[in-house]
Amino acid sequence: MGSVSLRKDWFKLSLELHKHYGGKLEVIPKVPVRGMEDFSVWYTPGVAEPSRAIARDPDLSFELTYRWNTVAVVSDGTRVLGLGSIGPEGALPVMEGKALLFKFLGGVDAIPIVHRARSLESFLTLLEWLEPSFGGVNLEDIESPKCFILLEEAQRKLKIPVWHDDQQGTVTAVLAGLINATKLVGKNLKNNRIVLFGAGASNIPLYRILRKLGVPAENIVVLDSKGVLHPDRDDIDKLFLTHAWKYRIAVETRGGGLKPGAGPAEALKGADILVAASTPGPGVIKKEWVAQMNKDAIVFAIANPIPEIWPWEAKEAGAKITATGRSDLPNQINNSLVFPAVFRGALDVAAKAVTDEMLIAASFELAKYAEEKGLREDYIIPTMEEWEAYAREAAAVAVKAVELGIARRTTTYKEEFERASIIIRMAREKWAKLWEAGLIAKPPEVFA
Amino acid sequence: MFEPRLVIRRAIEADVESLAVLIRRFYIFNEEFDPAMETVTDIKEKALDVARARITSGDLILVASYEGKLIGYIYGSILENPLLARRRIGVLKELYVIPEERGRGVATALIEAAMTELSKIGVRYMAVEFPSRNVVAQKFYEKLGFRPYTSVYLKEV
Repeated sequence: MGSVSLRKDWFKLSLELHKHYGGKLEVIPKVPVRGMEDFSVWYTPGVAEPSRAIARDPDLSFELTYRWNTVAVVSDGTRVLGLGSIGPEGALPVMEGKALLFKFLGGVDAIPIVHRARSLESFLTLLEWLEPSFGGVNLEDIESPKCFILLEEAQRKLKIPVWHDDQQGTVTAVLAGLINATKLVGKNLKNNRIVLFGAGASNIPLYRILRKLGVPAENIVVLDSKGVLHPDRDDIDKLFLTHAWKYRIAVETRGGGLKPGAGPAEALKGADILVAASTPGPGVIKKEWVAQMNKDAIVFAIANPIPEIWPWEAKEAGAKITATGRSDLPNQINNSLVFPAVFRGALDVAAKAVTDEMLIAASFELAKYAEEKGLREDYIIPTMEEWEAYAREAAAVAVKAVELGIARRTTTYKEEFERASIIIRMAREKWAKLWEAGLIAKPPEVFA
Repeated sequence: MFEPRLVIRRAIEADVESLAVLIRRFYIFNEEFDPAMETVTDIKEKALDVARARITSGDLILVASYEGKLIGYIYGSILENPLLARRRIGVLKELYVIPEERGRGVATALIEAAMTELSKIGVRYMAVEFPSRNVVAQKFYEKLGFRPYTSVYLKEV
């Protein structure tokens, strides 16, 4: 692939540009500052009054401060991209990049926070201590299974949405793709054989979401690097102690009726859907396994940078619909389609949480958007350019939060769609004006 | 408490193979808690011998059978000390329930059955051993009314 050979250049270019710009973000005021006397309003003495009001009712912080639109992007640097545990400072460029996407795609002010809290308890405490500053938390690049317990505990303790993009973001995008892929080939999630290859941050929550949608446990087979998760597997009691999520899946699915020790070849025989979210390919998923799947098989291989199996290989083996995590191939399963919009919607109603129901609502809205545009084998999910999809997703999420009774403010679909559209457009327009005015430094020749 | 199709009974000769599987899984489980509990490489064969020996001995060995399938077992023995007023206590050394059947009261049923057996022969106390680091077991037994009794410490020689 051309883009694979390009990657080396991307690395060099990126380093150069990061140095040129000294990072990617800065803080710019959004209020009139016509003269020094205006500070008497924004700062002391005037600011004492909003402070007093918030002290009486802390929820007013969602109205009188930037909290309503601000998300913390938090990482301990223990699993950064494919680089492993590279430390908090190493994670900072990634968090800053995430914040850039938050602003451009969702109009969300995201603040990168990397930290040294190594234990689960201290990480949780940190989040609790930081909660008053933010309208939401986006956890990022945290090792598994720590990320599962951290998310569950943080969601339980904090009264703002807590999101782990590697879990919920990926799952929302995958589900949107699956909804349309099954529709296109006339399959039904509820009576299909579904194989989840890889039991990490995205497939573990995908299993939970599929169950919530009414897929029977025995229709699902989940495999990790040692084979199918099965109650009679030799290490099952080890999982009982160290990985409650894999353990529960093993017990609930009973290995999908397969024998303990079964591998992907057995699991894919007669399967309708494969979602591989494991290690970079190619060749991780073999063509001959896909060939054993049912007619009109759906194959999502979303490892980056190289999918577990190239889509053309999967198609040669009989797959009808394929998806990957790559922007240069059709049907990109892309978190960036999700997190800016979910937070846009959640923030606009000052939601106290982000639940699976909100995530499912986002998936269905995303799927519906693509369906209205016209589904094709190579178009089952919108692309990042289709920015109306973001406002629609935001509206679906906000309305769901209101419906669930976890929103501090009420709204309607139409109202939120319009608000989200304006906020997102404004974010881009402000940047465009700065750029046009030459207030954003011109890049060096190599990036011109 | 437990479902009617669940039967708790003394292990018999015909249980040897299924019981050996459960014993093996119990030991592999405990291996997780302490390096001193490392198992032998040929545990599969050895577990068969152990299962056979226990069934033929007079020790307490009960199995839980659900629709004819062994899903758990409990093993204990009697400790005698002529200097103590309560001369004999029952000591539970092993308890295992397969993952699919956990959380349904099978372990509790096994313990209650063991208590009944002990009281039949006039034993008034039942103790239970488990690895210090097995917090799940500790909570489980405390919930059933067990309290700390003796402590066992370990050191390499």
